Amino acid sequence: MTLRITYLYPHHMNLYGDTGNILCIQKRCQWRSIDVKITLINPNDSLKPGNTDLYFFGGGQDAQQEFVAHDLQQHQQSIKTDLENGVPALTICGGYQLFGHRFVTKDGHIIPGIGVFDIETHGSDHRMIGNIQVEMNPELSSKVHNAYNQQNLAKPNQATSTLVGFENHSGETKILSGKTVGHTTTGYGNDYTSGQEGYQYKNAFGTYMHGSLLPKNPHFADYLISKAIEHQTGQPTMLPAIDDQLEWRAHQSRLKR
Amino acid sequence: MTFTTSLTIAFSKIIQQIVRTLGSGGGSALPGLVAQKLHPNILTDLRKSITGEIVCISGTNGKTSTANHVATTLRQSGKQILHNKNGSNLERGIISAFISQANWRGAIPPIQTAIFECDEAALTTIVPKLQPTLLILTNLFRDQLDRYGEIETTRNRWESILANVSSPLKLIYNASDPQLHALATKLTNSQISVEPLMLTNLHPSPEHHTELNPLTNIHCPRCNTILTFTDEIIIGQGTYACHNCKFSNKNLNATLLPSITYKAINNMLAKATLQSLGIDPLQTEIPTEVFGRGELLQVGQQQWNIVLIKNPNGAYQAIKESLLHTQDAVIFALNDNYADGTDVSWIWDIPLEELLPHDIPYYTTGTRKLDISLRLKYFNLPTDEIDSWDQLQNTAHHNLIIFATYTALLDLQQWLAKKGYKQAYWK
Repeated sequence: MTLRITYLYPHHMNLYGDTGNILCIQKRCQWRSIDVKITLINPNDSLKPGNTDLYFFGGGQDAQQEFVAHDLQQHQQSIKTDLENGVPALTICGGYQLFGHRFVTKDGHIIPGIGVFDIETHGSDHRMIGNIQVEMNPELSSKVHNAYNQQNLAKPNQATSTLVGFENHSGETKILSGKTVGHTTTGYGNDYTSGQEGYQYKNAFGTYMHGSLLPKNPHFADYLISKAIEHQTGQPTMLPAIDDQLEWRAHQSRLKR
Repeated sequence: MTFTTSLTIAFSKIIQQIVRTLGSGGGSALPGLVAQKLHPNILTDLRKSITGEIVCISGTNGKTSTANHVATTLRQSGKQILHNKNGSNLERGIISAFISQANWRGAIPPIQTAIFECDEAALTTIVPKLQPTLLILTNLFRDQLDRYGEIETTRNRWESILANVSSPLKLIYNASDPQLHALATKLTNSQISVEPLMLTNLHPSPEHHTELNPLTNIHCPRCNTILTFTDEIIIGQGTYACHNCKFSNKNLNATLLPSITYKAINNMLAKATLQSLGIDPLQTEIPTEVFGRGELLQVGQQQWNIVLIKNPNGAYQAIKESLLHTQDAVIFALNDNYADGTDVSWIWDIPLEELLPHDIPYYTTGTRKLDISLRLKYFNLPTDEIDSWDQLQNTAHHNLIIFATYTALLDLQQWLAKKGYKQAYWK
């Protein structure tokens, strides 16, 4: 089978090492003999629903975020249709913000999003920069744990409820309705005070976590991949076992007790 | 100089001597910081010690090499200069350089020429106080986003300080870099004379890169359309045009690069600087003994090649050029201390797929060795982790290359000094 990834605005929204998530997904699929086809969507490209098994959208500079926001509007319907049909998505920082309704700068200037996430973001004076650790919500944590091949773990029932990464943003994202990914035990997350990070809608996720996110969070990587396969085949899937010792050592090394 | 300045300098000089005697570093930052705290605008006064040109060299990569080349050539030609040789390039580093020249009464003798390497963010406070006569900009790439913020933020800040320059300044800049060309072509301050340095290959070659390479497909700084490069000298730089708004450097007179390396580019910038200072640069060789920039050292029976890496563009170029030579083993030393940048996400933006051979062993070390091991794993390269430099000596390899971030490099230099393989870098 060939997994179809749609990578939104790779040349404009690729400032923070987020391309590493694509590399991670590609390799983890390759190691399981799953082919991956990556379609790049750049300004003025067309995007039709039904051709994507996984969306990816990274972070970038303010000027480029505004630039792609306008082009993104034409894809609103396609992306919305796909997300409603359960297509998984990973959107990070600026990409996450644009999946919401809008980004309002400190001067009141409005950058339109596509509103597939019921969130909006406001520019602030708070610089939320640093290592971030998230405890996933129990429901999500359970789904991720169950989708992950237990043979990959160093010991049975090893804790896999955490996510580790690095955040760098001053935008504060307000959740209007829906669920977050989890609460922060280190760092800020969506805003300066709530202690909540990220957003989830069906199989689509938004987060402020760079790192890149997926390499040190192999359980989340496999969760997204399995959801992508499930979307294509219609069947839940358990990915074959893989040696994730290094991934978990790296993950553990970032955990603050 | 005012009495306050002399007193502050005298006091800071004592601090500098204490630091050096304790052996805890070269006294190239702390004394300056102390002076700065006591007398925040001290640099405005200190600049009066310079009788001739004040040169500032800044940019993401290449500052130290370019500044070193200029300073060494000037010294060889008999000029008396002041130079922040050890790369301490914040305002405190520049002040510390002045302190080094002071006597115990805090007086600084007149100095002919000053060559200062300046940190890209610190340039915004340094330029108004130091009032350089010559400013060299090497390039502007993404680097330490946790510290510096976005590239365009830095560029905007530079535009702003240059708009406010009130004494004659010559700007020499690398026009192969779209960000710098966008900055330079927007300047209207009549105090500034602009000299673009435009570099090309002998045979124009638009290099081809892997599809997901995040360092190519560069957007136009004016309108965000992806630029078309007809010639790439190093990744992210060359001859380009925007088919949408016509922003381009094609019309500039170009200088041919003798080799496509970042050192050759730094060399050209250094030569242009020297020419502006009235020195006809006969030397085309880059002086050796540059702190951590491709230093080759004999370590016991082994030869260690030591290369500083800081950001994806610089790392890509450094790795590409270094692996042209035969290496028996490659070591990556990745730290995440403040000076290295605390966010190591950038390692995922180095397009290693285009560079690293699969037939040699890889080692990793540093506070974030697991991250770099993971990065290499995702390129199908297994790694061995090491905890100390001693372990490298116990291997059978003859030629080792070490790519290290800044504080890992300092750590390595201290180890080398302790073992007697190299003088302490501040001596």
